[in-house]
Amino acid sequence: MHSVFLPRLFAPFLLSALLLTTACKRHAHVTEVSVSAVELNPKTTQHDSATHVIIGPYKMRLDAEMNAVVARTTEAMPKEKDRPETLLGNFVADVVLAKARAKDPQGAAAQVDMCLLNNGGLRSSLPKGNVTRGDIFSLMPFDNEIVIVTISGAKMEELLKYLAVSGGMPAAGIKLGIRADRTPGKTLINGKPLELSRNYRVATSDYLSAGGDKMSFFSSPVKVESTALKIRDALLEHCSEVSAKNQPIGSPLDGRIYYE
Amino acid sequence: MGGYIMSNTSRRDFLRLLASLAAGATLSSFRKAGNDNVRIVVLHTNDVHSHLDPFPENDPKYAGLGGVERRAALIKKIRAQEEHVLLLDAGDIFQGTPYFNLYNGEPEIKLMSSMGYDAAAIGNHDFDAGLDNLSTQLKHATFPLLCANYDFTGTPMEGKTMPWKIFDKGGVKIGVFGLGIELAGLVDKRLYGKTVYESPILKAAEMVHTLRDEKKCDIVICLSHLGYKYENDKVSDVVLAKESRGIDIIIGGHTHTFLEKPVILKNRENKNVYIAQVGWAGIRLGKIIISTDKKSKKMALNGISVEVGKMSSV
Repeated sequence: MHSVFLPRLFAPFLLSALLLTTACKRHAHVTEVSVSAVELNPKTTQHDSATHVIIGPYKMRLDAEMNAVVARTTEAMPKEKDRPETLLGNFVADVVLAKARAKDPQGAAAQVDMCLLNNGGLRSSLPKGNVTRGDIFSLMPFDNEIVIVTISGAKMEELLKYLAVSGGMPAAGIKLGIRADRTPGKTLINGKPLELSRNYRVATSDYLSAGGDKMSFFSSPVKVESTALKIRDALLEHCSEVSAKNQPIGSPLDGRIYYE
Repeated sequence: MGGYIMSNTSRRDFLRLLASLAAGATLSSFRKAGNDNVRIVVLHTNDVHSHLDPFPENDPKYAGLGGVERRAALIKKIRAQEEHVLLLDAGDIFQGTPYFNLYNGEPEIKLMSSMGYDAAAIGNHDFDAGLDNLSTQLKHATFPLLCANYDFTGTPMEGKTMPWKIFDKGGVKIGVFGLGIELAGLVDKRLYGKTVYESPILKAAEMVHTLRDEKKCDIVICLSHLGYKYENDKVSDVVLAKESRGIDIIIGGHTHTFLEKPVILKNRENKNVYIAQVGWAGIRLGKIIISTDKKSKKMALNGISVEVGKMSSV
């Protein structure tokens, strides 16, 4: 029940408080000015028994299910934004594109051109070394499914503009230069330049295809096809496939989206 | 990050803060007799996102930080030192770890009740297992969900929230109201159903009228899940602060913004509004100290964010 805390370094605060009190003497109403930082040392255990009792049973079942190591990485994949491409974004987008192609209701002969996801949908970093089932759940806690959305060439152009304005999102099957004015520059979709006259098939989440994150180019599509595969399950499947070959998971930074 | 030894710059900022307090809010009423000076500590979290365990030691960004046990212990310690504590959360309690996938938010709500939370706002991710689930989990709550701008009429959440609540701390009346973010384009329509989103700016004005003018609150706090600020003109805590009157503090969330201390802006009556937000995942606990002086009927505010589970200085 006893909590162990190590309040330290109060001298600087007292100094600040003194200074502030002096400076503000004429404002008699200011009765409290100190900054009282409370510090916790990670080396000491901070137990709260009431909390421990509540969380215990939940944690026991959760740990049993989630602590299994499902893959390994050779470098950390931090959750980052404001970068045209990230290790985490490339990894997830590559897996989703590969799985969309594998589960394509039109069969393996049909083409899925690219994959687009959103940074906000990747919820946590993956560590260097062992990756647990729980890590994959924290990265992708949502039950969102992979869908294949068929959109017109004009909508694809809008998609590219969105990507350029946003400064990059998790994507695969695409190479896109972003100009200084945040418009799309040199573009290759599935290895070919944009053709306005044709349709494109884009793998994404059902959340984004329904207009999430203001992806309006997915509204009134030509077609939306379900793969009946959750993104999280796709990642877990991928982890077990790669681990079975005793290989690490991950995709490199390959300049798929870059500033020109 | 998290050092609390003041640099010259921060000391200067701090003096500026205090100077601004001279022109700050005037307490309109004290109903009860008691000490002349009442010190109220407002503790706050936002976007905890089901992070009940600390981040694992191999996390690239937040190794070992956070954790509900430490947070509970820290809150308990502060309660032992302070007479008047208000504990608030600005929403997105749910979604982010397997706890939510397995238990749909039950342990999160039970633990917040156990820690003695006084109120919480509703975040967009609190809809993630549907309105039925939110309503079910609220059975474990000993604190209200505050939201002034979602109309839940005809949904499972009808009658389950309150727009505002008033807390009496040593004779100081603190009015707290909640605001939620626009749901369309953010939350799947199947999850929020018939919930109607109403203008946060207009609802805030209505709340201020009720709390400040009618109920004569001394302090008004907005518990917001609007987000700190945006590049476009989307309504945010910054927009609200500038366009409002009568709000003293906005405790925010959604954008996972780590503010080392509250940001001070001028409202449309040129009075100070303090905006606070402490990142996400229970990594930090926000601590705002409100000091009031009965004689001069003035109050002072001061806030910091305290890291949960890491040496924060040197």
